[in-house]
Amino acid sequence: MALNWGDKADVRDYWLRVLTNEAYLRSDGTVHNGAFGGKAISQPDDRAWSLELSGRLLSLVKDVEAEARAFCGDKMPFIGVLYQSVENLRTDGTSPLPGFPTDIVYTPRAGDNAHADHVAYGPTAEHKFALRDWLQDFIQAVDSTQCNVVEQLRANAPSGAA
Amino acid sequence: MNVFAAANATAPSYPIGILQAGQTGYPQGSSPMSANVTARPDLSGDAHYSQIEALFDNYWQTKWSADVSHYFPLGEPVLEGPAPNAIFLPHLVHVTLFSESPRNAVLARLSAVFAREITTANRIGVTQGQDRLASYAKYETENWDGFDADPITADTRRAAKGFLDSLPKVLSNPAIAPTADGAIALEWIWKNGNLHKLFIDIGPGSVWKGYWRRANGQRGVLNARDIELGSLKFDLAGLVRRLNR
Repeated sequence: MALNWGDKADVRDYWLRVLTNEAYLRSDGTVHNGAFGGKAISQPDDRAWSLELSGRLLSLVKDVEAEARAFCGDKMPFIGVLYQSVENLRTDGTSPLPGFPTDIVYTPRAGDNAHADHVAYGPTAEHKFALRDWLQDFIQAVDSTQCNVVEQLRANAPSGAA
Repeated sequence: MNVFAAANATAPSYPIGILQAGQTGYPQGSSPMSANVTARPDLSGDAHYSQIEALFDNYWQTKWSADVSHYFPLGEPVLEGPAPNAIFLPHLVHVTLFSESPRNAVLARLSAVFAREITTANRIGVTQGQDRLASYAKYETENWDGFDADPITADTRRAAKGFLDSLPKVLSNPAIAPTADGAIALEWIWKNGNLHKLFIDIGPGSVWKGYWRRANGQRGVLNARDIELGSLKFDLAGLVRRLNR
């Protein structure tokens, strides 16, 4: 079924975010919490959620590597891709970390029909560190040469149509 | 000139003392002089002796040659501009010199001390504060990450460098990354012990804030505060000690 702005992502889908800084992806595949620092997690004024982190839905991305490289252009390095299943990023807030409900919401933008935010309901700026901590533990990452790992997840994701 | 050869060739025959903090033993009739040395050249390459000599001459020689009876350091030496080989240890080294010491002998002894310290520093993985932030000038532009990031200003970089140079040994070698609000994020993750994670954001400007999580799940936020370099090392060491209980 086609998604509309504000819809929750299909639980079978995957959420992606391009890494554009070499300091964010370590050689052991773990991610520095700075990848989610500062304005990366923003506080929208007019949303049902209080914190959001931009990303994209795999089901609506045609070519992970090509689109990531196009995003980076010649101004930023394409370091890799963060990814995790919607199922794992959808929480009810009962676990100690992050301690508040989270989800993936489809939020297409002009020029980016695949855009989706990882959102949190209720927390304030003071909770950003907790969200960074949790994401660091939960998010997976591949470097720019391993986008095929993400592509292979399509077998489980819903077919793209928005 | 090989730094160790220089030291071995000259040190025994001159009345020079290079003492660690707290040590005594000034030769009779000497005028002790102390300098807190926080910046020193990289001694790993062939050019280390000349680098030390340049550092010495640039910052100390003026007073040295003007009046050998009373030599006072000109303050803490600071390398100007990008210095990719500069090493900043996370602690001060107190070097005591004597006014009658021949310049070359002092240089040789300084070289030996620095060489030993840097060997030790490399072994324990001490970070090179200035090196690790030298490339951060590229983040002075808006949107450096493609997600509308704020610039990381020179003031923030200076604050972060001072912060890194003041870290206690227990917090040596943080993982460093820029953040999208113009700050610089430091991170420590421990596999053992009660304290599991410590995040510190420096900036924008000369402030820092942080977050910690213990292995048992307890966590807390360190509210934003000004960087007080005078007490930072002790404050952080105490913080880590308390969180590890």
